[in-house]
Amino acid sequence: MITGKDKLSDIIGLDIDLLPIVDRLGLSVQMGEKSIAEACRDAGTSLPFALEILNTFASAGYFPKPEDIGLEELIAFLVGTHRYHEAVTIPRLQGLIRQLKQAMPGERLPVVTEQYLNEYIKNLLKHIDFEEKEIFPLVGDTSCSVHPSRLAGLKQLLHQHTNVEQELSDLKTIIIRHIPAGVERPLIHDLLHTLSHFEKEQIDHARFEDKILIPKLLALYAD
Amino acid sequence: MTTGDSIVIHASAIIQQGVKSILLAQGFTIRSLLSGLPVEQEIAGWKDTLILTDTRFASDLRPLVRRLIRNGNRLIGIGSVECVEEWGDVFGEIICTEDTPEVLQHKIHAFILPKQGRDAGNGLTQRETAVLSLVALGLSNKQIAAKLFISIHTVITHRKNITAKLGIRSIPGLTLYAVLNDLVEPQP
Repeated sequence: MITGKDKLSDIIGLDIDLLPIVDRLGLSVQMGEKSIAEACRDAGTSLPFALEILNTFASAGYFPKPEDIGLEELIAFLVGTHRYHEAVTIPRLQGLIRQLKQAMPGERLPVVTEQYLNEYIKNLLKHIDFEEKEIFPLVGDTSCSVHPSRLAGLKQLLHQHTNVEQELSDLKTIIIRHIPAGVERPLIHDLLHTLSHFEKEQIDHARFEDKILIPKLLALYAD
Repeated sequence: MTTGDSIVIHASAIIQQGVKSILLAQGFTIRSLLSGLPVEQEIAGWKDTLILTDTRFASDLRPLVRRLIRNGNRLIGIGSVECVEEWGDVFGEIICTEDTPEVLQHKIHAFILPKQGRDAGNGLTQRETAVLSLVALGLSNKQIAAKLFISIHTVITHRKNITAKLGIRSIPGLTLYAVLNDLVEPQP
């Protein structure tokens, strides 16, 4: 378990995948020699929230109790995740596919993979837009009357998440099976690592929404 | 089992992370990274999981091996070259800490690959291939049933088998697979 006494540098050293998560929590990597508690205090980030998030991403068996997560903090984190994928993960994947096309001139795999990825990204951005316009504002909206169709949108989210995760996992499986011999290994490794990282983040992101955000919102409006 | 859940058991956090990155690249999800064996009751509950464990736990695992395999689990030992003879009855494969990342990837990949997939084919029957092609063309279960003169229930059974054999679940994923295997023409 990660605690407030642990140093940022230590937890990042043990699991480099935490780097973007630390960044999204507003904690600077330059604070690496500080404890997480000190870094949170300096950044104005809630320590209990930061620990719940870090432990969830660091350990597959850990997941917070809904009552330990504040909705507004969670939404700020989820929006930060959306911006990260828009600014970093998606352009990185597109760049890797472009390189793959150059490395495999005339081959069908990179061309159809690019088509698949572009369609996936288009749907993902639509999904992000739907969440930010229709779902997240519900948190600050309890005093107003909310049309039942907006609450129905919450259930729609669960289905969308399943598709988002499955399609990414399928792409990775197909690339692993269809990469011909002789293709630059580092490029393929980079692509598969990026896809794996993206998939893991999508799964954890969806878990926060499916297990915490949606049940809490439904409970909020049931009251 | 093609890909799915995996559990890594090793006292070294560095080895845990190394094995984790290889498994992620192969399409596995990491259910747990453990530094030691959990209690027997917990182990007995593991199903359809790739378990990679330090060979030092082999003697403790030996009494549980049959039950683990019956539950669809596969076991890979993490040890040294000398372990291969000693613990070959416990583990289906042993990866050595001396192996290069490429060798490790190859060993795990070859181990998880279904036997039928080791041949040129993908293990699909002719009927399943026909259903897959129609799924890739965007037909609904009802349309596929009408086209192939079979019931919707049979179409669903074929689709479940296709997913199990290919490890691909989404319609876009199945379509991509069908295009790459010349079952359908790519969309412009």
